Amino acid sequence: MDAESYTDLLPLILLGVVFFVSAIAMLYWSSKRGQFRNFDSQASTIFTDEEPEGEISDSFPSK
Amino acid sequence: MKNLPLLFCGIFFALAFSFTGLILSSNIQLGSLTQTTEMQDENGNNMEGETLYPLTAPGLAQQGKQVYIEMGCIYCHTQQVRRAGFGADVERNWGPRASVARDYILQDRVLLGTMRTGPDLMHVGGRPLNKDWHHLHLYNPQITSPGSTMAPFAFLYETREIDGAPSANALKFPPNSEYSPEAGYEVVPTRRADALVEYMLSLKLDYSLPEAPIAE
Amino acid sequence: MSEAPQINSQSASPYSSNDAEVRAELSEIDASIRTSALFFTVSAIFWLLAGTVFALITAYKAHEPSFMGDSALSTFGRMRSAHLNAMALGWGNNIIFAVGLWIMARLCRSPIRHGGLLLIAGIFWNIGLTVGIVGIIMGDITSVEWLEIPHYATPLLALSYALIGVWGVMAFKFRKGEHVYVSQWYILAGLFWFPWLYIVAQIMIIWFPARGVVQSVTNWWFAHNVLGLWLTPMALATAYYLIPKVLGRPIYSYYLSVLGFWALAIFYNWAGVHHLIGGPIPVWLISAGIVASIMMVIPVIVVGLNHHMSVVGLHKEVWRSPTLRFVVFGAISYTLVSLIGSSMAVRSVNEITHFTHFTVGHAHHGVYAFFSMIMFGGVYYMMPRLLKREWPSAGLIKLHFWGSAIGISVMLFALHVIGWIQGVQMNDATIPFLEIVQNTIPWLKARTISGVFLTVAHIAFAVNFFWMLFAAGAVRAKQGPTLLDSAKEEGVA
Repeated sequence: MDAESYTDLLPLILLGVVFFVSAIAMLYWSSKRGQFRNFDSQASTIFTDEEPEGEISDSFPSK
Repeated sequence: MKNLPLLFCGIFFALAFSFTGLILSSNIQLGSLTQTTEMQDENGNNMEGETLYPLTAPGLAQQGKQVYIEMGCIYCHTQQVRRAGFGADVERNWGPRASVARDYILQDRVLLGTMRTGPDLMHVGGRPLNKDWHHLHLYNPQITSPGSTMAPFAFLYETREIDGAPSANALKFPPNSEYSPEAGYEVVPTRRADALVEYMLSLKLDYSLPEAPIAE
Repeated sequence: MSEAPQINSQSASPYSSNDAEVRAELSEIDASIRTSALFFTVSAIFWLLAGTVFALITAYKAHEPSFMGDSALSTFGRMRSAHLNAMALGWGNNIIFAVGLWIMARLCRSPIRHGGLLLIAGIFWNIGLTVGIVGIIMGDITSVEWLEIPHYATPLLALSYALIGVWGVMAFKFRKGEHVYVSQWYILAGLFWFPWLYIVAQIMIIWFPARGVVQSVTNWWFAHNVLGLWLTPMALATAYYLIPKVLGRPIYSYYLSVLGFWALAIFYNWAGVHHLIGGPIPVWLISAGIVASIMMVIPVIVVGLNHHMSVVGLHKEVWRSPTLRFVVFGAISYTLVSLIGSSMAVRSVNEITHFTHFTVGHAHHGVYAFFSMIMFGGVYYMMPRLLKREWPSAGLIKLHFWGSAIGISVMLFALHVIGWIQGVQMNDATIPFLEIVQNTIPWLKARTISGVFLTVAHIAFAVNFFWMLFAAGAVRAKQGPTLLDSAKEEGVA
């Protein structure tokens, strides 16, 4: 492919840069807003009193 | 990230990115391709008075393509030739050159395919196979290609009693073929079989394009 | 904005309260989605059985071409397409609507609203699909891979699908509690991505066909993303929910799960172009597809590591849980199939595997060994909770597991081996084509036999399911470690 055909893609490359920068900005903004606080604790949100942490909740039927 | 709009933005942009990069940009790059002559002058203009390629398929072949679509032929046959040196497409005489984007611009439905249970058909009309061969092959592939796993398409043909002289378009079975109809009967193609064979014969990659010349 | 949904949260651990109201919450949520989840599961199982029949016909025709060869209704192409659509859109989508939305409702901690809407959308989805598959068999097949359904059925599918997607977003919007679990991300994303992909593909290929091979690019952007941005996120969401849930141990690393999600979201949707390597499209498009396919190694390793570390040390528990047997089988398959997939995008490998049975095997590796196995596990976990009943037969569950596991392993082995041989031989022009065709036949017969195993498995699954649904009153276990009641009684005492 010659260099000329790449100039067609210039808008695309620019668009890619814009996407990338906005992704970084979004991450920065969200960490400022505290979206990542207590992050790991979210892993326990699947447990409830009915099906609590530390208990196996599935087995083969008895008969 | 717990809030919906933010999460949603991320989800949206992830796909928007590839949609722009793959779909819109290829549409920009390829959507404006037009027919050209086999060679162009140094300014990239078509040579005056020469034929424009790819050719428009004749009407019966277009109907045949519809039959090809309805029968689901694409699930065993591709219509794309990879360049020499990448696979053995050219060595197998599936086409004299690689197929390129411009070869497909006149098609309302592009049937590249992804499976070669059977051979590629991009250039099948340019191979030394005539109409009679194609009809016999469609009627029952075992006649022309013993051991093939292609299904017989006998339901596209009609077996009927010979009324007076045999029909001109009746299938020409090889002598003593076990697939020949009984004596006094003949097998004739329906219009759909005729169209399908016409489509096969119209598939040719025997022309050069400025970006894809046929090597001498 | 983020403060709005904190209705029920309490400081330390918002969900461990002795409040009877909170305790009953889960049952209430389950009850609110019961009707639609049951409808979707029943539909999914019917499509699974129909898809299995189409699969057997297709597999048999591959080596006995004249079988059912007297009619245009049963050509290989039509049977194959009926199989694919029944499995992907019938079994796949319905079981996602059942298990995925059930998980979504549970994680949003709020009884679902507008369950009727969901049910109506579901009914229309299945009507649209039935019309579509009958259309395929009658000859209105479009011959566009993964989009075979004729144009008159697709608007109904797109519309009913969009309704379901809207429902999912609403469920998420009205969730209780501050926290969001990674499964919710996957489900929300999948619900949003699929209609976008589907509608764009319909417009650019069927309704207003784009010029030339732009159609093909769109086709593979869509088709690969059905796998990558629809079936995969839904199966991963299910695995991320069920593995820690059943084992009673939180996922190994929540950070990794989030990293895995975004890596998948960013890379997977570029990867589809690898189906056109060597094809008549610009080289830079193919390169982008190859790079993205290789980058997929990142989310795959991340997810695989996370799942593995969550299970480590508890292998016996996995084996004793019908749910996790299936889910872990699926999770392991995900790692394998994705790594194989990434390597298939490398040009020198693709030169061989492209256009062969290797790709067919790879597709089944993804959709069956990964996606379907995880969804089977999801059904085994969900149904007892929805119906408050036990599965009637442990034997049938084991039959299902072994039938599926052996069947799919035989199929994958056969198709990968013969695909590779076929590819190598096709690239050697001195070998006549018919000889290559002949070489595939014994392996294709092995595939048909593997189909028999899978059929037995699916029948065992269906029998167990309908037995549970209709006659379970008689077999409801009164003693022994029934998974639901015993846990609850202990909790109350």
